[in-house]
Amino acid sequence: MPYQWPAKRTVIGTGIPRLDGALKVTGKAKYSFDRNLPGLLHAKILRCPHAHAKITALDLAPAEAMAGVKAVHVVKNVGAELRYAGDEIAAVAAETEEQARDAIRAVKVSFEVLPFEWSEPNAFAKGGQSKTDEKGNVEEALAKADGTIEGSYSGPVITHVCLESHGLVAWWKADDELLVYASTQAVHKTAGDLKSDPLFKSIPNLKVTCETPFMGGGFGSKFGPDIQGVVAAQLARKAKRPVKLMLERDEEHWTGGNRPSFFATVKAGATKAGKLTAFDAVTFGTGGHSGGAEFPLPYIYAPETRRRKHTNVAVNAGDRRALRAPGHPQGCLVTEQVMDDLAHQLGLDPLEFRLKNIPDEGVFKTLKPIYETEVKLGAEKIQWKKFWHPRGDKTAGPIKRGLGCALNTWGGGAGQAQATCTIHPDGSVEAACGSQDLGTGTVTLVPLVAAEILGLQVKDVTGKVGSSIYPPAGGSGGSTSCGGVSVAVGVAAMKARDLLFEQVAPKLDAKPGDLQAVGGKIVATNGKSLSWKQACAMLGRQPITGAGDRKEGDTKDTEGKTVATMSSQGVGGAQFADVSVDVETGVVKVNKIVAVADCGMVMNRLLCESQVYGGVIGALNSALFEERRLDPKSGLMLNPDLEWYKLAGHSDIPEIDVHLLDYPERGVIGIGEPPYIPGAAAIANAVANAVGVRVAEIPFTPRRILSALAKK
Amino acid sequence: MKKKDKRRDVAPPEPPPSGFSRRNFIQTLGLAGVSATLPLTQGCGTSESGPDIPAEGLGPEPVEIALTVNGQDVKLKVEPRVTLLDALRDHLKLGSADPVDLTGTKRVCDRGSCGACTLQIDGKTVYSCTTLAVEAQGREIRTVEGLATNGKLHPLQEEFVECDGLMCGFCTPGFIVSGAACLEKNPNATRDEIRRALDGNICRCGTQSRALEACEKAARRMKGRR
Repeated sequence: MPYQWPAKRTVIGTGIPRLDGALKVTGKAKYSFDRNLPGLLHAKILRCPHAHAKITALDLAPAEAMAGVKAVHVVKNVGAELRYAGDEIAAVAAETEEQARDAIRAVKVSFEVLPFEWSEPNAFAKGGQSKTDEKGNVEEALAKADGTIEGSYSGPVITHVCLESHGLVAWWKADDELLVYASTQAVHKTAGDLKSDPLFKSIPNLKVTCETPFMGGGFGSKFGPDIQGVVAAQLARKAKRPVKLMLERDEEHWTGGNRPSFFATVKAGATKAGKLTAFDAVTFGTGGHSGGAEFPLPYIYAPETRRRKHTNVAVNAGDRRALRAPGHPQGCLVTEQVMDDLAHQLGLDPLEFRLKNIPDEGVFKTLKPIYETEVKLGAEKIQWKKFWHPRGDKTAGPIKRGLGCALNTWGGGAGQAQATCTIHPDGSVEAACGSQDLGTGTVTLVPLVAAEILGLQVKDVTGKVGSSIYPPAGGSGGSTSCGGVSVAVGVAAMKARDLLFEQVAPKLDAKPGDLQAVGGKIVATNGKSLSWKQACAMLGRQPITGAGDRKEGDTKDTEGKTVATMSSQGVGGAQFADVSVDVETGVVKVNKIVAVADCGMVMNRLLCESQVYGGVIGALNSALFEERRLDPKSGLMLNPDLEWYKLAGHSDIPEIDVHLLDYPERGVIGIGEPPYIPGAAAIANAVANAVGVRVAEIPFTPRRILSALAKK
Repeated sequence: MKKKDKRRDVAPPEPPPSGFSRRNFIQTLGLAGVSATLPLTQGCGTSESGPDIPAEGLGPEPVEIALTVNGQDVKLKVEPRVTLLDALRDHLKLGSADPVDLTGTKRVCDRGSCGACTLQIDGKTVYSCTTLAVEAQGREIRTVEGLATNGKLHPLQEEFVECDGLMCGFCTPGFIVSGAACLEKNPNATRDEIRRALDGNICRCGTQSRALEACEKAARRMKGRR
């Protein structure tokens, strides 16, 4: 029998407030940034002040001689090429943070300043590595189409802005034992990467532990120790004292990762009947000095005839990292704006046009009816029939209102994870998994799953998460943690439960297979029962432990193919936006967003909804505010801060209406990425619907709105 | 009639000979220059009842200061350029050798634009990253750690947990301190008034909707208590 979720669930699917909530709201939760160990030193990094340069001289002696300085470390030496402003050069550790900053300024360094590139269009004009995907004859298909559009759509590089910056506290507890408190999305990988780093791998029997009980946001940018983590560990080794190295806000923008920009020029065509027949796109973008800027296009829809030429261009700026659903928001923004423009051009209903073009193959076979449900529900909640109008709000006055919609998809299959579940003779239960909680709720998920399987309440189980001492689990990215952790803990708890059943069955005059753990009791089919405590007391002195692996939640189908039974992947979502645009000032105000999300089996309704709220707000930020600005003259980032790198304030947040579609029969699917994908495209389409023109470039600042209106 | 603030008559000392920077500037100038040159400072440096600062300014060496944090008097030694935020987070050792540190107040932007470091000074919300520790002497400092009473959470803290007004939790202390200040002053605050009170706090996870819900629920409870 493959492992399966219980048919009747009493804890899964309910709303359990996060178990570490009280620690977080009282300020008692200790994040990596908060670790003040005895004898702690503070470290700072000297970074390249030019967009592109070569080090011609480097002397750390003046820094070493400064008050309080205990260790220095060279990251890149004379002759090294520095490819962006913020590239690491050297680091110091000192008694206080202020002294470390002073010492960094005392380093004598000189540069040969090299030519730099800051602009994607400039870099694209110069050429670059491009790749073309083609299916059918696009020119012919465009010529045959009943209606065509041509448009340009773009968006800038945006940064992750994790509120807790990247970094860690490194402490050599012994010569061969390193403990780090890292702000990371991957405790096991962070420990492993440090262990195998060239600086440390020769240390015999080196043991590295990564502790991350709390972390202040990652969004895809924190999967390893990074340079600053290795530097902190090296400084700590040299100084023989713990070292804290957390990036400052400007460093965070420069080097902590970003989402690539996207520039697309698209010609597309469709029939009067609403069939998308041709899609021809030229796209480019930058992922920094060496990162790519790929994104899926066309997104979701797969016209028979299509061509796409994409070029990754390099600029002298920090490299990209995954940011919540990497590539998807860009692909969604381009495709869903094209779909809207085509619907407008051909006079088609934009919702029907979308649904008509959902592919009939692969995962979309499953998703098609889900999209239909979502669009119907979303349209009702945003009052589409009442408020939607053909493009351009014709009512008098400067405030124009419009509605828009966009769809998304994402995988979210269960990631690699192992777990243990231990039942003690006193009735206490521990469930451990070396995953981590990014604010996503893993700390609450682990005991929730074990409680469901053991017929207990969440408070009866102690969850252990956020340390590499627990069974290995993959990094928390790609919405893979919820599935992986749930299945691994579920299987571990089932095994522990079955061990308990074996021990107590004779007492109940029953076979282990006739027992059930429900409502805090072990109940036999013959009607006899024991309370949980009585049953556990029969264990004598030995606790019992079940070990589970996410893979055990899979089974083989009749053809021998592996299929997941407890988890799944492939979700569809739909979001709807209602906006008002002041055509005199260019200010966009989002009135309401309706988000309909499909995430398979809902594990914790309260926290699952929070993920959707978070995705919607993140997308709103990218649509209205976020933009990394580089200075054409110097190549330096002009807004490496939080006053000019804009994020929504409370008054910018609209009414958000979240609807989760619960499909428990599909098993667990992660929800971190999907709700972040379609919001910006829905807002873009609502803006076009309101003002009557396509505003081609996000974020929708007043300048961009007014410029687009001026061209009308 | 309050006595004239002598600090205002003091001419700033000679600027440092080289390597001019904002931090060196603060480091050597002491308080007299700070409040005039840093308009973002929301602290109390210019207040007439503030600490007694010598005419020649303080520092750059560490100085003994006394702070009142969550009702407890503490002494610490910090360079005058150390912000109140960093003093609380890194330099404070309350009581015994056990390093009890107040790290609930978070550092995110370190320049008065995100609200993560919000605390209350004499009941008013202040960005502690743009307030010097020396400025806060003689004031009642209340941090997120000081909101619970006798181990019982503040109603707003309880509602944040119940409504899930938090995710990663790094902005949460700032939200709670701002929200509590707003509601303690006016439990009848409207939704828009609460929004404005929280406008100075940035959240990246996207908890704003539920943080607002938590504030409204707490307001109803706090009204009921009176």
